[in-house]
Amino acid sequence: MVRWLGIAAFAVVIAALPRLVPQFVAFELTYAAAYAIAIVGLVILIGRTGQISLGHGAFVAVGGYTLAILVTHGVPYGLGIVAAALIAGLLGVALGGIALRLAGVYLALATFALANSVAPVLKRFGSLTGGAQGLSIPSHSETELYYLTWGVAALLFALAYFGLRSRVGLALRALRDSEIAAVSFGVNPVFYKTLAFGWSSAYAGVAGALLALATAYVSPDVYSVALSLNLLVGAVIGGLQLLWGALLGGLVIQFFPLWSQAISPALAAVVYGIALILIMMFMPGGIAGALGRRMSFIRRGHE
Amino acid sequence: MNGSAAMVSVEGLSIHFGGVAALSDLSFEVGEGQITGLIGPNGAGKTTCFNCITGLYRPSAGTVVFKGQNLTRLAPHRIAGRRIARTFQNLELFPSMTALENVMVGGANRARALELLDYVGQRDNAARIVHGLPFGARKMIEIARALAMEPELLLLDEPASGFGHDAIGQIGDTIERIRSDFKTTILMVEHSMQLVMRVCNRIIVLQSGQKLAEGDPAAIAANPAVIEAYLGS
Ligand SMILES: Nc1ncnc2c1ncn2[C@@H]1O[C@H](COP(=O)(O)OP(=O)(O)OP(=O)(O)O)[C@@H](O)[C@H]1O
Ligand SMILES: [Mg+2]
Repeated sequence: MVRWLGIAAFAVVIAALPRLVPQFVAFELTYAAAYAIAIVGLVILIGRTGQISLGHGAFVAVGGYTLAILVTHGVPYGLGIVAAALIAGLLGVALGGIALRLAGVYLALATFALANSVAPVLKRFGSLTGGAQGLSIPSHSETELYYLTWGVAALLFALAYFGLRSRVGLALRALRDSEIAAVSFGVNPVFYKTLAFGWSSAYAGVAGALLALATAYVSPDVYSVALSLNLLVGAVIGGLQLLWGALLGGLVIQFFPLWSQAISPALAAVVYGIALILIMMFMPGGIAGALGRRMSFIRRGHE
Repeated sequence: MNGSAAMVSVEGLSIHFGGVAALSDLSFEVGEGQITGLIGPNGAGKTTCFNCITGLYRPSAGTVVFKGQNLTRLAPHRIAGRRIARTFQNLELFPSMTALENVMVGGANRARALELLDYVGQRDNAARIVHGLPFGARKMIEIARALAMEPELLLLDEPASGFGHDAIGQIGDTIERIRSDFKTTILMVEHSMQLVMRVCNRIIVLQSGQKLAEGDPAAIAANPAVIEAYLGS
């Protein structure tokens, strides 16, 4: 009950914000929502199956370019977003099959290599991708982009919430908790791990499409390794075990660097780094984990 | 086999780990509807035998035939799909899940999972995360999870271990009740001779990966080789 009221209140705030804050802040919130979508994908993959990906930026890139290529060929952006989800998702399924053969640090290395290969591949196929120049996309009003991105985020959060509570979510948790027991109770490990990889990649693809729309532009340099690492940071800082941690993660990776910049332009990266280290030291379950504990503590205190 | 058909036939099963032959040329049958005991000293290969039947280990030779179908090369989740359920000697619950969710992974819906927890006396723990529950409770939840598969064959690895001596009668009752309520065939590894002698129709004795003896409880209790193996260890 409290939870649903909280969600309703949050939705009202989000819907009202563009009227209350300066336009550039609303625009930054659009980015935060898009990042949050990609981070939900990581929460599903890492938090629920224990597979680590350092290469999610690659699926963001696939989503961004899918949208950009389709839209510049006259396809409506709604279809472009759906196509971005499908293509990134299918690629995720294909790579998930390979990922299955790798574990732990090898999986991390392979996905890291994937993140590194994005820019060279995009530059290589210049006739389709615009090469190093990238592609320009017709721009849209900032208000439209804000509501589109938050609307899609709400939809995908809900889908993840119910998906993780379904049989599929139970199977994924079973595999993470004890693979031996899971397979002994009929959970097909190849199927579910591949599914999780595809699911999470599709989310990254949608995030990429929305980011491309917001920026009205895609270019290889946007999808550097730093993007993949930033998404992972967002997931860890937000909290890997709780879905709404992804929302906090999206806000953190969008706003912390800006704040760090404001505190000390010369040492922005250092300030950002220190803030992250402090959060990890004092909130091992991420911000969501720490807040969740605090809230259940308060609730118990009232009983 | 006391007139009942073989549900499981293990034929010439062999597996080794490095230099250790955990099972060598092991053959036996499990009769449908019976409770068969698999006993033997520590390290005899009992758990290894379970792991071969359920597909967790791949034997280097031999076959496991279940209801006329060869299981030997199937993946564990497919073997589970044939309704072969098990418990684990060292407990393998899903620690982050509630007791209810654990049982639901076995294949039951919410209502059925609650019934099964009730059946093993763990309904009060349904909403608790299993990680912090006492050993005895977790053991019963593992049994409920196995029953959620509506198993045709149920493999119990040391159901009485960790319980006190006076609980053994109760565990025996539970196992017999499961056999008749669920019309399931049971293969059970157990060190408590008292429990084995009471519930088993037939007993197979393993030693160093080989079959030492096989027979009904009275014959096994009187078998000099078995007495020697047990007194010797
Ligand atoms: N995964 C494994 N890797 C290496 N050795 C193994 C493995 N599994 C079993 N073994 C070895 O196989 C032999 C049989 O072990 P197993 O666990 O089957 O014995 P057990 O009869 O179940 O004994 P206990 O009564 O102690 O449970 C032992 O020597 C054990 O060390
Ligand atoms: Mg054992």
